[in-house]
Amino acid sequence: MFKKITILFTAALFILVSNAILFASEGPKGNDRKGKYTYRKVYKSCSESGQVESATPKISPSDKTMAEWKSIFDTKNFDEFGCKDHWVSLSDEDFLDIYSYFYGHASDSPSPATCK
Amino acid sequence: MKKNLATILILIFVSGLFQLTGCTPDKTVKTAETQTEDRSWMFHDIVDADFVKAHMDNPMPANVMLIDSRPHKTKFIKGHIPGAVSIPFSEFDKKTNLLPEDKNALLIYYCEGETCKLSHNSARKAEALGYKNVKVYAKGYPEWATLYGGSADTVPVKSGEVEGAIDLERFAAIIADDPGSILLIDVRDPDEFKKGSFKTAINIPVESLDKKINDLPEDKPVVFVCSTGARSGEAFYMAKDLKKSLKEVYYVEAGITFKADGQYEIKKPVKP
Repeated sequence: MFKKITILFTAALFILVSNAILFASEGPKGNDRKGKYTYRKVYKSCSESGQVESATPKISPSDKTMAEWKSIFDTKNFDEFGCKDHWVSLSDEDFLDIYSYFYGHASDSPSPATCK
Repeated sequence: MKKNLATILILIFVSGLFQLTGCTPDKTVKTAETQTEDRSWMFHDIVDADFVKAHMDNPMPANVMLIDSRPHKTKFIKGHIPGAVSIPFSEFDKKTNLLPEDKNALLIYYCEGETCKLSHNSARKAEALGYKNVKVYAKGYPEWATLYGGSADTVPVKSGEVEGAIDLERFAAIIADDPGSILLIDVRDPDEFKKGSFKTAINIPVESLDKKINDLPEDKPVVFVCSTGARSGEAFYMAKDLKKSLKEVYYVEAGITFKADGQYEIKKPVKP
């Protein structure tokens, strides 16, 4: 009896962990193309309000790995970007799109951001 | 006696009618002679169908542009010489960016036949811009369609798998058969564009697109290209955001490699 329970528990644990890994590796499901534009739009708005020097974003997705971007976006830690008020006021959809852009073109992704 | 008088009066009345309506052989001949003499509106360098055929290819050779000066919707779309670019005379000033950069490029204008002035007027304007090798195919589309057939149906744009993307096979067909039916905008940097692009593409780098977006014409589909789909995708969303009046906007979601000989290769990118 005890053996059966152990086997069932181990199997359930294995399935849970596998799904977690699978989910983590798939990344956010937003629109990365739209996210690129939205990111640039945020920076342009930031620049117009004088909070950053240039409308051209300084941070590229290829500056960090997928795991690093996941950590930043999961915790919504946008200190590096500046313009916190613009970032916190993003809609859920825009946030997900920008996250997808950074995650999908991170330095260790299949398509690291190489063009501007 | 009375009968003769009546006959004479009737004859006088009828001849008077002819005089009033101008139905006299002399007047008709005079008008025709006047028309054949007045060719001052024609361009100074006229070519024929053989010349056009000898200089065109698929894709069109570098530094050759065949230009249809007729209205886009009512004429060009319904039929045009394959490979021609649509620059209606009425929009000449707005579309000078579609002309080649090289002022020595061969420009061949045509329109709706020997009495159509649009191509001649366009050719003169092109010369005024500094183009040195400008011709007019005076007999124009009617003769071409008779001799070789025209491109009666444009290749309609078709959406691809993701939002905003153009169907890649359809895009390739448009580039091959009907490039003038779309406004193709290459959003890469000028130095990249110089190394090679589609023959009918104009270059507006994505960084400066927002300043020019309101100048984009709305009479044909707009298609953005770059080398991976990243910048062209950005351009697509920019256009949807900043110029909502543009009804048909697409981008090429693919990797594009341009070769030195003008050929290109389109590859679907690997998505993460």
